[in-house]
Amino acid sequence: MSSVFLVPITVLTFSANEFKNLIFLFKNSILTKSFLNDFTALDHPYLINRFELRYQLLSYLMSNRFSLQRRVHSRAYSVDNLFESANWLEREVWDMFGVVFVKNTKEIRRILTDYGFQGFPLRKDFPVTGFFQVRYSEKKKRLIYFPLKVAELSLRSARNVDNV
Amino acid sequence: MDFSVKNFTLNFGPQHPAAHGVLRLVLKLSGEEILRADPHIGLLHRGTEKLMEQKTHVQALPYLDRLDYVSMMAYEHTYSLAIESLIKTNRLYNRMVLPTRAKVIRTLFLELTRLLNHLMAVTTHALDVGALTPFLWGFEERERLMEFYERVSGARMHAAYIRPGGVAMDIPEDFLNDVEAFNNSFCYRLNEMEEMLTNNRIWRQRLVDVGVIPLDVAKDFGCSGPMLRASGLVWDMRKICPYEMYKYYDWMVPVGSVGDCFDRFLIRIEEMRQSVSIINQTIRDLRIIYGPVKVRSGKLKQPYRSTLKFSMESLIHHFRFFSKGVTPISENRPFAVTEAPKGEFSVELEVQDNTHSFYRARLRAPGFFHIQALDVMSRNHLIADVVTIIGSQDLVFGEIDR
Repeated sequence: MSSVFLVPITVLTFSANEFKNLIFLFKNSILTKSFLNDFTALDHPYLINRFELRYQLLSYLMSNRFSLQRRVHSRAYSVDNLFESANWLEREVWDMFGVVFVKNTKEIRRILTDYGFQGFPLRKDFPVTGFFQVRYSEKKKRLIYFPLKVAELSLRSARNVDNV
Repeated sequence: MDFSVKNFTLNFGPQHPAAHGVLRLVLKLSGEEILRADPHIGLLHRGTEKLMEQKTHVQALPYLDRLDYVSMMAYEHTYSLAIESLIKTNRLYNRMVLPTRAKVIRTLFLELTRLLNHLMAVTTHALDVGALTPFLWGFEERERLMEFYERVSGARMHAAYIRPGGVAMDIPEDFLNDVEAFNNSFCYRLNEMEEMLTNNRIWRQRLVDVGVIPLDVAKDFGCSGPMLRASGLVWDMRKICPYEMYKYYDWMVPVGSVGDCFDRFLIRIEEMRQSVSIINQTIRDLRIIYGPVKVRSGKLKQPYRSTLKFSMESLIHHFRFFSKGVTPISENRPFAVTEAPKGEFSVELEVQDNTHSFYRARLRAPGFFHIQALDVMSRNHLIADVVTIIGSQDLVFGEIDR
């Protein structure tokens, strides 16, 4: 596909122990001088280390991206003391996946979902329909959440069940 | 007589017209001076990433239009690039090569989209600051741009025109003449807008040295696009990793020096002028280059209807395309990053083995990073300056909340 440019992106996978030093190195080394450009997670519900965290560092000097990956069970060290952009990205990963970030210097609370929302929407065991629905309660004069009533919770279509 | 002033908290939005949609900003004030700004986002969260996991590659495309609903095609283009990177590149196997005409059309519409976005950004910014006239003029031009959208795709906004494997259909007859006429007159519209704003004393008083973000801070916050360039770094994905036709065209990247709201305004205006120049070059090319606007292979696109009755292969591809979507035939990790009008937009996809839906689709929205910097940018400013800063950040909540 000639229209596709190849973004210089280097993928590196690491274990928990070396990770903290590594991300520090990437940030401060003169060669890389990277900044946290993106951070996301993947959920593999059948593995013990369930969440794959992907830190995408961007080096303006090298015009290269480094995708640092690691797997965690449910908690990870926060990197918000290293990067200013980390706080909201970690808040999003906490909100969407429920990964806890420890030793954080800034507040980590939910960011995209509603106030008082429960559950972690991007986990694979979270149905697309969610567990609750919302309506306006005339009695309480506010919006209320109440359990979802559908016959089938998992609305993944039949098309998605069969394999290619 | 002595009196004490308490700090107090003010809710800005979510229904404030200057909040550009649904931003709830909790401001901690000392008098009228801002001590802390805490943006609460997510009021427009629609779970696009989760919804994309339920769809095939083809069906997921229109969600991208609805992310940033003032620069629609830029976002679907990035997604298309990511999907195209699923297909193995092979110079010999040229059924997969995107035709040049498709690339030029894409470039044309990417730049029209940039005009569409920057017109919105600059004029609503002016509206927030108090100048109504540029807004009225700008939206007249935006209407013309949306007519161009409508003529190629049938939809004024959510076009789904740039698709994996090319564009949906060729541009209609006389289209180029109209774009050219628009383009030539648009320079004058820009001049008019600049007459109203650039040297306007009130506009300058409100913008100059307001919301300064130094380069190292901008980098650290992950800012991109005009936000980063205003601080003085030449960083444009169209130059760094040129896609489509950008490397063949003559254009420049405007860069600021101070990093204040006024720099960002000037950069947007200058980017529009550069876009006009790029559009002129694409028109020149489109008059010479003819040919198909989609790849020949049926792996990425719907085969032509006329071939269905004669070619078994087309029939198979037709069935596969509408039942399963794009079949990934390479081990690439689909990733694409482009210079959307607001900044760097990247799409990262995780493809499930043996299926046709994504395991995970990650959309990096530039606005998400910009609004995170709002706290730092607006500190020690007045409330009225927050409006200016929000306007100059060019926030659209469709993309921030996803």
